Formats: sequence, structure tokens, C-alpha cells
Amino acid sequence: MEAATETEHPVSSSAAEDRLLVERAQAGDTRAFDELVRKYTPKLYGLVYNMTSNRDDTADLLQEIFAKAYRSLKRFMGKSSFYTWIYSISVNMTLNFLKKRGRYAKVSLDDVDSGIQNDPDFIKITTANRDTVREVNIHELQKRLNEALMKLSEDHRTVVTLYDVQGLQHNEIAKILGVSEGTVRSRLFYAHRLLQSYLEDLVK
Amino acid sequence: MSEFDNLQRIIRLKRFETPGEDFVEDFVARFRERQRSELLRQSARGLLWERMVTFWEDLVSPRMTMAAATTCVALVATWGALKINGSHQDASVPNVLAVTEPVPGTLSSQPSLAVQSELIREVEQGRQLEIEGILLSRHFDGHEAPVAAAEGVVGVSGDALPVSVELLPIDGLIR
Repeated sequence: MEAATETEHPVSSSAAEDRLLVERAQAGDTRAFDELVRKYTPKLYGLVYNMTSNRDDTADLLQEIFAKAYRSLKRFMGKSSFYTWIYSISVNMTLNFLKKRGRYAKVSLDDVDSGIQNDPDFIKITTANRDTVREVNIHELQKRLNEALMKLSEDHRTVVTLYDVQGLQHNEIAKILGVSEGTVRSRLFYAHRLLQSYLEDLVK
Repeated sequence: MSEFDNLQRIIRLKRFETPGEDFVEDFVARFRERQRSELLRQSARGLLWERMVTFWEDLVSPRMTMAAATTCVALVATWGALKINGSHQDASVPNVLAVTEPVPGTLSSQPSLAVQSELIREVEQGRQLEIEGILLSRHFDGHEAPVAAAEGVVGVSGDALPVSVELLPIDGLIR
């Protein structure tokens, strides 16, 4: 169950570096904020993209997220880490966006990185269950996975994205979402059960 | 490998969906452009404000500014006090006139008027009214405008006539 422990921690040990950049940005150094944007764009892209499943929406929403973060930076007191703060902004803005967008979503999938061929997870899946998964090519797998994720509610998709894809810990997710760890665990449990049923033929 | 492990491995493959190599740099460049334009807009507003302040400072000396500000405050305060006083006076009028009095027989057949009690008082005192509004109301109610028709009841001050009298067609007017 502790998938996050196996993955690379998203913030590594850069909290101090972030704090310095934030202080410089608060003092009016726009290049310092550019550094923060450069650093967090790939991580937040993954979060927003996996919640919206649309490339254009993700790019537009990310612009809005960083613009809002920049405008609110003066009010950031440093009580939480910058990454928790920016993740909270991202999750809230994405959930608001999804509510406005409703069900009329146009799904556009990103290309799969060629590195997937060497990924241990991908190799294990395609070798351990030869009878089922070998029939599925990468793009089919991507499509099935996205369809399954889009069937989840927004709250469930958010915790799955943060935990399984982004590799955050339960307590970090709880801070970002402003809920208890118990709620995070229960949402994850329910979401995993649903995904197992949607992807039954792939996971057996 | 359990089903659950398989599921997690499949979900983790989402990490390989990436936007492309140049995305981050293009994104940062676009963000920088947007951020600078926002800053410039803010600067333009700040600059306008600064120029207005400078213009005002150059126009008048600080002592005159203080005097003008004091005068403004005094004028506003006076106006406010007069308005409050005026509204109190207006409010007191209906209270005085709202005394119920018996309607004289000569007026019982007259159309209902908004200033009935005032009219009654004037009638009782044997004075002519100088309220054009009453005259017009009576006219529009279908009564002819009486010029001192009833003795001491309703009259027209001076040479004033009802409006409709002035609107008679003019013969021979050719354009």
C-alpha cells in the first residue's frame, strides 16, 4: 500500500531553497519567481493534467495557477512549505475548473514518454501477466487507464493522482486538501477498489 | 504480484505521459511575458497616480491645500446639517395637519384631495387658497376650474388660469 515510499519524493530536500526564492520573489525579484515556476511546472503539470485529461486546459490552468500564486505571494507567510501552498492552490483551482467544465470534457492525451519501455513497472506488467497485458499496447493501456480515471469522482481522482502518480504521502495529501489523513486513506481505498473493477482484465 | 500491486504499477505509468521536451521552457517564457505585462499595467496606474499627485502639489501650496480641504469639509458639514434640519421640519408638517376635523357640508360633495385638511382649515378661516396643485387636480377630475366660484372656497391667485385654458386651438395659424 505504501507506494509513495518507493517513488522519489516530489519535493526532495529543497524546502530551504524554495524559502530563499520565495523571499527574493516577495522582495520583487521576478527572476526568483521564474525559478519557482520552472521548478514546479513539471510536477503541477502532472497533477493538473491527470485531473483534467486535457493538454490545452492544463496549460491554461497552469498559467492561471502561477499568476494567482504570484499575486498572493505577499500574503504567503511561510507557515507551510511553498510546495504545500502551491499544490493547494493548484488542487482548488483545478477542482473549481472541473466543476465549471462539467461533463463536457474533451480528452486529449499526452504522448507517452519513450522511457516507459525501460520502466520496471511497465516491464513487470507486460511480463508477469503475459496472457492478458501483452495484448495491450502502450497507447491502448494509456487510453484504458484514462477512461478509468475519468470515471472516478473528482475527489477520488485527486487523491489517486497525488498518491499513486505524484507519490505524495498521506499526511502531505491531507495538508494539501485540508482534510484528515483518515479521509485521504478512505478515499484512496474506495478509488482503488473502483479502479480494480474498471481495469479488471489488466490487473489479474 | 497481487492485483493491487498490478493496479498501482499501472497507475504509476501515468508518469510517462509528458507534454514534450520544450513545454517547460515555452511555458515559463509565456508566463514571464504575462507577468511582465501585468506589472506594466500596474506601473502605468501607479505612474498616472504619481503624476496627478505631482500636478496637484505644483498647482497649489500645502497651506492652500489645507485651507481648501477645510473649506470643503465645512461646506459638506453645513449642507448635511441643513439637510437634516430640513427633513425634520418636513416630517413635522404632517403631524400638525393630521388633526382630524369634521368636514364642512359645503365640501362634502367636492372631490377628494390630498391636502383636504389644509383646504378645510383655509376654508374655515375664510381665506383664499393659493395652491395651484389643487386647482389642477380639480380640473383633471372633470370639474371646470372655478375662478372664485364658491365664495371663499377655492380661488386662483392673481391672474393665473388653468393650463387647459391656454391650450385652445389657434385659428389661422399656417406654417
